[in-house]
Amino acid sequence: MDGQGQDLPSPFDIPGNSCNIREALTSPVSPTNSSPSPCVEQSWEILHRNRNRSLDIDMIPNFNNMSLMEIESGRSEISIAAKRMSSVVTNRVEKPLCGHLLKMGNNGWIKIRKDRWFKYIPETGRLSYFRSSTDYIPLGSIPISEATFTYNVDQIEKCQFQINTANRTYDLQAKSEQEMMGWLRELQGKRKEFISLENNMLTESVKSTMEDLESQKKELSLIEADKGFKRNRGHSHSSHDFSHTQTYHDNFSGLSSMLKPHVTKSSTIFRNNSNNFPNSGSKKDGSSPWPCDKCQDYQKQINGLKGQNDLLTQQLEDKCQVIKTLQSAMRSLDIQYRSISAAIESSPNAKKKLSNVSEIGTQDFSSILQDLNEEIEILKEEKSACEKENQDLQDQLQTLEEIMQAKENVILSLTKEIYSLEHTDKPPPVDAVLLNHEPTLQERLYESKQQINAYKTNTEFMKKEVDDILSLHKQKEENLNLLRDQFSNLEAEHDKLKGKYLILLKELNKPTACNFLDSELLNNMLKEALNETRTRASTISITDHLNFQEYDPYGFAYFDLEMSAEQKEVLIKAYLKTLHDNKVEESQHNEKWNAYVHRTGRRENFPQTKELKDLIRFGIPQTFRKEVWKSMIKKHIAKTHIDLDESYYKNLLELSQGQTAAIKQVQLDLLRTLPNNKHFRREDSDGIKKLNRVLLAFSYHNPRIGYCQGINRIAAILLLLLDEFDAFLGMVAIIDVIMPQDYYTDKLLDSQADQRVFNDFLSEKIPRLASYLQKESLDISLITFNWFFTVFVDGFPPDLMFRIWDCFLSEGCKILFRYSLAFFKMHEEKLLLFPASAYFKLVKELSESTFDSRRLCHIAFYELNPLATRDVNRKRQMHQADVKQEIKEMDARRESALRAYKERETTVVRMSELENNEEVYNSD
Amino acid sequence: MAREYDHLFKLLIIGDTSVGKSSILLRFADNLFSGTYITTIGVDFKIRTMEMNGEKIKLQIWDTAGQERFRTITATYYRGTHGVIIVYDVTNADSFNNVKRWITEIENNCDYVDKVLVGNKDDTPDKKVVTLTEAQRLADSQSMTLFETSAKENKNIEEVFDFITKKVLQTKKEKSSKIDTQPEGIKLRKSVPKGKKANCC
Repeated sequence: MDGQGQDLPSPFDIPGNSCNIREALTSPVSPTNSSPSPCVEQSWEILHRNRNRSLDIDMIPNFNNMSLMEIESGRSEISIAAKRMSSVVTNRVEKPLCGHLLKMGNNGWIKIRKDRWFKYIPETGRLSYFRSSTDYIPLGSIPISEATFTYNVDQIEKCQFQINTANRTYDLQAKSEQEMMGWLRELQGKRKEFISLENNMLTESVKSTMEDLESQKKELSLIEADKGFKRNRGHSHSSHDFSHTQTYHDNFSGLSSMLKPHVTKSSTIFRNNSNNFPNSGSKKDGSSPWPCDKCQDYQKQINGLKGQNDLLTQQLEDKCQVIKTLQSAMRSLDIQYRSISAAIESSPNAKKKLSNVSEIGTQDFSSILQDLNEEIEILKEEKSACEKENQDLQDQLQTLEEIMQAKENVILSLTKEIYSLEHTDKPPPVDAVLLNHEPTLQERLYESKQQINAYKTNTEFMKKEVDDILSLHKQKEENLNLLRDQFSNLEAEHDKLKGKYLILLKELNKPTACNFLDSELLNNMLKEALNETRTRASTISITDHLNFQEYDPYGFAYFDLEMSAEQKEVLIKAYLKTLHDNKVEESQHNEKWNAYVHRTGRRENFPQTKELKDLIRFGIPQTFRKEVWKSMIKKHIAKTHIDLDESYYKNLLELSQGQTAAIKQVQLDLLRTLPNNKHFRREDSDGIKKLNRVLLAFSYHNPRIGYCQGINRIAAILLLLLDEFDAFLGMVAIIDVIMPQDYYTDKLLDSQADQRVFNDFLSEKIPRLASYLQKESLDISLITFNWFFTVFVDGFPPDLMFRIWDCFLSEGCKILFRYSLAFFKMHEEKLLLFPASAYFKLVKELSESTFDSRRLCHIAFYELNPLATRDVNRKRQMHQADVKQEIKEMDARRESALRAYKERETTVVRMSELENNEEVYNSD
Repeated sequence: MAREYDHLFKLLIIGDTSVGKSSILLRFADNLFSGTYITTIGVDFKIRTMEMNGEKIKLQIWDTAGQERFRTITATYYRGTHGVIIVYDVTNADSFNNVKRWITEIENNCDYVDKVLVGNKDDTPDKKVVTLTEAQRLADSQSMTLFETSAKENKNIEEVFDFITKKVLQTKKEKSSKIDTQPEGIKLRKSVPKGKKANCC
């Protein structure tokens, strides 16, 4: 193994310090060691062995200066080696990262180490491994850019480390710890380097894709101009680029998800390592006082027994004293007795007397003596008993002392054990204790130190690894966001391109556009394309509420039956562009509405405030539209129509049954009101009956108007949002209150007058266009009459129409002028170029494809000012008078013409009668 | 670039409400038919170019609202009109009776204009109430040609427009041989000078 390492250039060819770790490295790893966590088991074994060994030694804490110095020198040796190694690494940054490593096979239960030549390929960011350094084709490779690195500190002597990728964990073994650490550091560096490189490349590729798109766009517009069909290439190319970007996207998301578990894993290891020290510390603290309660009890018992013993000794001494006193009394009595007996012998009488006396006295004494002797006997017995007792106690004490001794020994041994345990983890001062006694201790101390250092390095490494991974993760997340943004931009671009592509597609179909079958086919194709666009542009929230099947949320069909393919193209194009351009503003506007509703807490009966008015100007979100409309309608009719309730409406319905003329016309128009809306499409559609009732009720409510074609559309729009009665109130609000009173009456006087007012404003606000129309003798009111008359129901996309209605209900009929003028202002340049021969048709198509309601709204409210109500009213009055006069004249002409016709008719009849008569006469 | 057209003619379709004016136009301009065509408010426009005797003729066809109260505004539509198609519904007697009112409308607004009478919805004999004889008599009395059509079945529609276009073209040629006319234009506004108006109406 070493030999091979020296033969080949390895960046880790560094002299390792001769320590146990080195030995452990060179010692073969058991191939049968296949338990899930062999390292843990092994480390336990080492610990256990160390503990036993330290217990064997009867150690006494003592420091050995010599050994300490040795430790220091060992440490410096390591640090020098590390320094040297790091310098090697930094010096060889430019050189390829390669070397021999042992790779653990991961097939099945048996793990076999294989010597592999590892080489880092900077271009791919992969660590490839070969059978030998001379091989060209790698056996496999590890994607470093997606990998995390760990190594097991408990098995550091094995120099094994892991490279974790999403799919696999690679177990690798280096020749030395330094080599392993070098590999890890190098790999971390490479990973960082590669990812930053990759990011740069990615940004480059995104840029180039954007440029591609730009060029394709140009190309497309060129193609469009030439009506050529080269677009296929450009299109397929762009879609290829998208898929490329998509792959990057996937890679990133995969990596970020993969990173998370590793980060937590590493941090757990880190925590576990640091836990060892506090545990041992707490053990030490608990061992310093006597821990045994029983010992204390024995001590107390011994003390008690000792006291008892002293007491008994005292008693014994007292008894001895008594005995001595009695003996001396006996001796004096004996002397007395002798002197008395001598005296008696000297005098017989006295002797007799005395012998009587002495007899008596002797008898007395002998009895006393006897008593005393008995007492002595008792005391003696007592003493011997005491002595025996004392002896027992002494024995007992002895036993207790022995027990204590034993216990002390146990405690001592336990303390030693603790010391020995500490010895494995504690810094040198404690470990040095061992040095005094056995030379092997030095070695073990060294081992421990190594272990500590290894832990330290591991901790540092893990810390760095965690930091690195976190920073990389963050960096990648940022990049991911950036890419997401760019991706959605590209998608939008793609959609635009698709719009153009569809136009070209249509060009292909143009010759057969008049054919029923082909236009049907084209229809389907367009629908398909639109559906695809919808699913692709999922980031555009507005598309979500429009399902391109057939109808919009209000039931309007997206395409009219009679729409030509060109018209559909224009619609799709304009619609997609608007969606893209306005998506941010639209979502912001919706947010504002939500905030407003949330703040005011109102979901109905909205107050008429300036804030609400401003909000309404840019459209009411679908969610709130119904209630806001209801509130505004109520406001309009509040002053003039207080008595309108549901019973009034029901009454009107009953009464209106007699109005045959109105009923007939209404019946004719029911299906012709909004035939492109599913609620009014067929006789059995849900809106038809309601529409009938509302129109009849209104015709009776306002007999001056009765039923006028056009108001059916107003009623239908109201019915799309409101209940029948509310829709009726809406009719009242619009026709009776908002509009001038003769807008829909017999001669449509005010409608006609309004067109003249509009023409005046057009000359004022958009003079260039007005003079162009004048020059070409184009009466634009032929178009705008419908807009005013039906409140834009005719000729505008439903979404824009609803937005205009929002403002119209909020601010009144000045809105009609604002939006009409805004339309011409917005399209002024185009309108100046339309040829007169197809002017109205083109204007109609333009209005039907005006989707950018935001832009239109902005012009209507901010670019046309001043547009004073006073001005409108003044102009109205003036023109109303003119129109009235003209109608009068026309009626007179019509009357005379009709009279003339009738006269002519009677003349013809008379003539024919005369002729007949003549014929009769002649025949006669 | 070749000229887009040699002649530009404005045709007007008039007649009572729901006689099928818009349907006739839709059939002629887009070759489509819809049973329920939206009510026309004011006026609607369609354009179709056809070729006649090697000349390109662009037809600008105005489809008008039928309800009586719109007559006050349709009056302005007659200006600059070359040909008028008067439509009645063969299943609706009232619409036929009102034809004379429409004729007076034309007379009231134009000096001279080519006309054609069209009886539409001639596809359900059971419902037919206006007989061909009756209608023919009226047409004759007004020196008009009558066509019975069905926009639904695409019957006689092309013929109607063919006929009126030919007639309008003929009138134009006769006129131009009489007077050296200025190029044709559409005169819509009432501010159009009287002299120009005389060209077509």
